[in-house]
Amino acid sequence: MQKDFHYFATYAAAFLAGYTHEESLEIATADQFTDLCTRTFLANIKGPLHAATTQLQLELMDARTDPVGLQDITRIWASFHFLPYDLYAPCPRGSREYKEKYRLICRPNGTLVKETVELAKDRPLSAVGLAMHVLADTWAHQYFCGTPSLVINNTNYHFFELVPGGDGTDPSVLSERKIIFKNSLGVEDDFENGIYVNSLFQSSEYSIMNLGHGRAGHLPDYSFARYKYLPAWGNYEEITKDNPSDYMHAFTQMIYAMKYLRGKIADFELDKYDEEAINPYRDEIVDIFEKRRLDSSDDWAAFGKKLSGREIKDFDIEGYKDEYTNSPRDAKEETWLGCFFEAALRQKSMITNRIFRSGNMQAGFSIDAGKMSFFKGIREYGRLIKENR
Amino acid sequence: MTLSTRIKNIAIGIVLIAVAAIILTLDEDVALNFIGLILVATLMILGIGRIIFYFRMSRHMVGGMRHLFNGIIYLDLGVFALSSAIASWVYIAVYLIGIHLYIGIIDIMRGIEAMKVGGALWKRKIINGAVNILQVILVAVSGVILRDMRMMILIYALGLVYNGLVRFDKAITKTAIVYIP
Repeated sequence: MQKDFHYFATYAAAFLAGYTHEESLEIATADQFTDLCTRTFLANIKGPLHAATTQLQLELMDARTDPVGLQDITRIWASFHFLPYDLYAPCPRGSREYKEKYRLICRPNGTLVKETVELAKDRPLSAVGLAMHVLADTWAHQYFCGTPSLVINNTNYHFFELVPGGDGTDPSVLSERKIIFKNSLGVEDDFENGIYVNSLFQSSEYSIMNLGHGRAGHLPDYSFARYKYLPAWGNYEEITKDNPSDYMHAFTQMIYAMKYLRGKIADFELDKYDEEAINPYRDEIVDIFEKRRLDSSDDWAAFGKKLSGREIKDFDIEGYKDEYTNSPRDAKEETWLGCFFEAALRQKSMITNRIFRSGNMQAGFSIDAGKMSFFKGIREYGRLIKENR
Repeated sequence: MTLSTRIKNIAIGIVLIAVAAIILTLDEDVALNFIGLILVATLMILGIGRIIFYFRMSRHMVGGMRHLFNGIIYLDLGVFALSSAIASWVYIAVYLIGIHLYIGIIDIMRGIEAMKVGGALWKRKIINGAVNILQVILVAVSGVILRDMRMMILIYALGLVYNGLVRFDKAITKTAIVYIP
């Protein structure tokens, strides 16, 4: 998913869930910021480096691919972008390492989604935005895992796009078109001709090229895309991905989740969607999802404005950055970014702990950080652990 | 390219150049046996590694069988080389020709494929392929036709030096790649 969904659509979902314009903007900003909170950013503002929710391309290029480095990558990507569906999923085949990676495959409506949403309950709005990012990505990024793995994340030549009216006849009929993948730099996806950019095939299991959905290009990030392919892990069973439907589920589940977070609903249950909230706007939203283009931000901004009657300003983190850097040390935690970092640490800590407790070592040990409070960045972990005792 | 890969490339580059230097200082017969043993060790390590990876991980992966086939071929070549390396320099020459021909053709094919899909490294792959093919021709001429062992050893050593330099180049070149997490 991209800024159009993570920022503008999240604004609309928050507003439909009952948040005010200002609150919705805060939630949307936190959602989008989850894709931007890198260690480079954190180093610049002297923030806690462990709160990184993503990694820059440059950071990944220099990331270690030894076990410790891989665990660090997994903690970030599995916690925020590829939430594991079932850490105890039956996997009758393969070595221990294969099974561990298989169990990190992301899908919506896993128990960790419930825990993620519940973790944001009674927390600042930045925590709500972060949780919505994680929830939305479970729909877009499903069938891939947040650790470098050839045997899970690879795709092959069997990759077809399902194009509405692609045969020039009835637009409601989907026709199959083989996708051509390119590895060119600076080239944009060509929707008309079905040519998409993906990451280079690397036969090394641990290559960062095999992290997430790189081998499927940006197709999971486009709301209009429908495609079928053979996932590396799927035992030669074809998967058909219907993004317009998945994105609609993500949108309505976000509304439902945020109603829970606002206290309108007592319990957050899996596989529940607030269809009622979008019924008056359904056709409009479907239209935005179905349009074949790189970025739907303008349409979502217009839709948000229609809902709230207020202009939706573009994503901007500078104000929050200044607030954080200009705050005295002991007041930083109370700033908007301070609250976001705490939410990020809580989320990462919770997911790492769940992975570790399931006997899966892909995200490393989940230690009692309270005993190691002298390390920079561990202080926050320590505080979280104390709170949970 | 990750930092650890860059360091690994520099280390491999140093080892390759050091091995080339050692080979050039050895007597003809010892050098040939040494080359044969390097060949055997490389093939067997590659083969066993791929077979282990197949059984541990890629057995259940779509298209994972390629790791098994690659592993068997490498291991088979390694075992065969082990049995013949000491026996005759002809086998070494044939192996050198076979391996460099294989690498050369694969590199050129991958270079052409990368060029077609707009990959950034196609020129480097084609040059690598061409150098390997040139090595094949020189080994064939010096070893098989002229039967000049010293020349063949020199060509092999120069090949190692070239590969060492390629590793250095890889380690220090800025890599701009399409990366989608």
